[in-house]
Amino acid sequence: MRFFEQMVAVLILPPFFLGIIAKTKAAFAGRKGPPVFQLYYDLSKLLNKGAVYSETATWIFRLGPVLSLAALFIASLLVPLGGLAPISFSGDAILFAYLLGMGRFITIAAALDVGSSFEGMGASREATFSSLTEPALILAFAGLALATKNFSLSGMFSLPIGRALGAGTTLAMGSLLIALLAENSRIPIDDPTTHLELTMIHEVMTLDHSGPDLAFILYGSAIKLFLMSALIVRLIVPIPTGAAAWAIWYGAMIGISIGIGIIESSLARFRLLRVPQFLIASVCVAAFAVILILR
Amino acid sequence: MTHILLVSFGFLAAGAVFSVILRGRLAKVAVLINLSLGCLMGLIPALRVLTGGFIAQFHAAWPVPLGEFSISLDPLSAFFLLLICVVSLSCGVYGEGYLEASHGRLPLPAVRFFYFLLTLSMAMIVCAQNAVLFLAAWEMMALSGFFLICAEDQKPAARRAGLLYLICTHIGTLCLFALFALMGSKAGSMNFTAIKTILVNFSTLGLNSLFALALIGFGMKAGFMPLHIWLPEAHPEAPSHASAVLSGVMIQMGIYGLLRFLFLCPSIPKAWGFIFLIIGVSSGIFGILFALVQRDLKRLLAYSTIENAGIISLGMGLGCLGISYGNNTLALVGFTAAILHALNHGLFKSLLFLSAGAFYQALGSREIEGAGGLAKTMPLTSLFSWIGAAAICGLPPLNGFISEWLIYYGLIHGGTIGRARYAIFCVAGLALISGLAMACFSKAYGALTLGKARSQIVQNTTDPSKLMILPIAFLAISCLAIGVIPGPIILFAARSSAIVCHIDFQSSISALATPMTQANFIGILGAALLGMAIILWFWRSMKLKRQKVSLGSTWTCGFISPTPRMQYTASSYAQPLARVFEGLLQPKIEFHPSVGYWPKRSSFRSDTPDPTLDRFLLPVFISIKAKLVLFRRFQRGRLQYYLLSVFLFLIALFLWKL
Repeated sequence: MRFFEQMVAVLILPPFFLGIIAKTKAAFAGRKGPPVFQLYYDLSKLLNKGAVYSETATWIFRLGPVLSLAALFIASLLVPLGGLAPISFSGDAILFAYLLGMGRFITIAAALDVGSSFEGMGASREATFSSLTEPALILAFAGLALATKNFSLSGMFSLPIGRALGAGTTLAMGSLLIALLAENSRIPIDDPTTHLELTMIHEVMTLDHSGPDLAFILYGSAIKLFLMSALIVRLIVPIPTGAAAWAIWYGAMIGISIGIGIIESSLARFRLLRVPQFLIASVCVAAFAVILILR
Repeated sequence: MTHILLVSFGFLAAGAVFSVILRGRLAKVAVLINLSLGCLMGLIPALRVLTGGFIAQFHAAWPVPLGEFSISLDPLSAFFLLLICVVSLSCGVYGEGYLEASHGRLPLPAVRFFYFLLTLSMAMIVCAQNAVLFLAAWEMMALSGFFLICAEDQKPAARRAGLLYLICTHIGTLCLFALFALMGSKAGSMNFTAIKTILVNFSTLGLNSLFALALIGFGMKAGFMPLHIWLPEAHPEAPSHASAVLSGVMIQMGIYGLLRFLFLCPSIPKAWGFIFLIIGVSSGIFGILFALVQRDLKRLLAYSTIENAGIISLGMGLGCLGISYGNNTLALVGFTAAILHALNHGLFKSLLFLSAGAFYQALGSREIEGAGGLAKTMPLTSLFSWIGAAAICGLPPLNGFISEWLIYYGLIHGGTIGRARYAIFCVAGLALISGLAMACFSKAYGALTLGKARSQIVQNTTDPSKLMILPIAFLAISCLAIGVIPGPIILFAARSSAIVCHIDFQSSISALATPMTQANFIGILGAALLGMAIILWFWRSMKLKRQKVSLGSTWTCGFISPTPRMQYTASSYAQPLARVFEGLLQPKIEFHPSVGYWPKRSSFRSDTPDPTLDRFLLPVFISIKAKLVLFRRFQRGRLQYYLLSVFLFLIALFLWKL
């Protein structure tokens, strides 16, 4: 039953939260912005379109969107949304991180497949930034695992409210927030709305995909943001059991999306040379979190 | 059962003889038959021992003083014998196709002979129970490696690489001689059983000095960081099937030696575990960083071998910490991860070297930069190289992930035990290593196989012959199989690690029960990942059947007239990451900008010399030589000066005796 509820939630909810982020950014800019359900309309339109493939591309280009979406679906089985995750075992946090890594690897390969300088640049920058983000993510997981003496995602993210406000876990949460911004191509690391040279990281890797492939990619990025926000929600808000649980969870997720929208609207994208320094700083923050938790 | 082992040795020796005596097609058939029979018969006792069987020791007298031809197979030896047989057989079959396609560039009898000697000596190393036999087989392995590296000895680069390899391996062997001499002299006999009993009486200082000797001796072969200088020079020069065995299996002989030494030690001081962890993280990070900036495919793979040796050392460090702190789970998890990663590395590294050989023969050069678009002309080779690349990055559902996951598991669970909790910072190191590996291998295989062809050579390339493709395919499928069904292999590795930890097998199974069930879960989820990908692929094809699908030129938001030179090259792909780690890499850049108002010729060259060899050892040796030149004053070349110095020396001796 839990499995079924989780799959339904992961299938239906993610595009909604991207819509909330877009609405928040529009409110800051004084616009009305696109409808909250815009991504649903886009996905259904794209799924019914044909596709144009580049002559330079091979089977890797066609495999990219499929394998990364499949990796995200499997990763979603490990993430605890309201209660426990459907599949939870000690060490599944590492599997989660590496499934995201698998999706990233095949997307980079698909980007290099078309033989264009834009996608090559995006792939190069993505490889750089993700290799600096992974230590932060996994150190934060390690710190939380030490704090809760439990190495599964469901166990790690079930801190009682008092422990969750401790110094170590707050630092770990900060590091996770930076990892969320980096992995999901949010400002201040990347701009999700443009693919121009200044912000040529994630969006540009998918320039040549069309039709259902593009739908898979947009949907996959919505799922990734949804999963990582769900993890941060679990750290901030204790989830009571019972009927109020879902309402509190939805409220917290909408709150996180609005928060991400606020961060995106109040910061400018960092100079490209500063981004690695920022990511290394987040690794240091996670290391401090582990030191504090170890004592 | 032991007789089957001896028969397999016999077949390997016979193969060596046949490869020298016979010529032409008959030689190829004889080599293939002997290699297959030798390796397959070696597999039988190995599997028997790994599944819980027991085979008797074999003793024979040997005229060498203190030496005894005693061999036996315990699970630790059996696991490494399994690795040797599987990889040597695949690479040997590939080698026949490779030698055929090399059209006389390589000396066929020599390469075949030394390949058989290499396999035979490695099999004897893991079975040896007597230190003299061990050292004899070790030296035979080192020399066969030397002759394989110098196979193309008309090239100065190959000669230089061979000489460097020979010097380094003999430094290691010297330390091993000292090690076994110290242990054997106290014990009065060179048999491992006698040594094991006598080591109990050694003081801590004695054990620590033995450990230092073992670390240098075996670490030189395993490729740990400051001792790695021969690896990036030697492995590219050997013929590709020999490089695959050198990198995939010979490295693991160093690891086997360290594990055997740890098995012989009665207790393990806490410092050893931390030393292994530090070596592991530094070898891993330096190895993959230097791999990232290489332009030569095989040199890149050689540096990546250093990285994987670092990961294995991380596992061994965890195991040592577990033994020192008395925690059975940590010890077993650590050693199982190290031993399993040794097997996994053997499989995917040999896969990558074999496909690198195919690319080298097709393109005529080992450079990554000049190719591109090989996925269209050499589809099978590219497919299997991508599987190997994903495996070496440790991505699910392949086998690299299983061993790396076990190391993460050990690191986090060690976080609850005494001082060992400081090991948890290695988690960041391992994650960084994985991320850098992803960047490095996507660079190498992206520049080689994807995109548009950057030069004309690519047009005439085709997939290599069946003899070369079948072993590559077999290795790729085995990587996938271990990733999806890890259970049996982890059981084998657990049996071997139980030997090193001095725990009996039943209690080790109960200690490892949790990680093993979870590894099976991971395998199932990996299979689910592949299944889900297949479902999505078919759903997409169904959706696209009713729509219009067409081919066009690359869109990229209005690319008007694309040329292959507009693509990212491998060096430019790695440049942002190389700049972040500039402090560690210290690249040498020669840049001649064009001066003046009108653009003239300008040139740019960047190189990343190896830090230990080119920036430390060479300057040190040059300065030592400069100081020693002062002693040339004594060599005047005239007989009178020499007679005078002898006379003065005699007078000095008399005065001293007075």
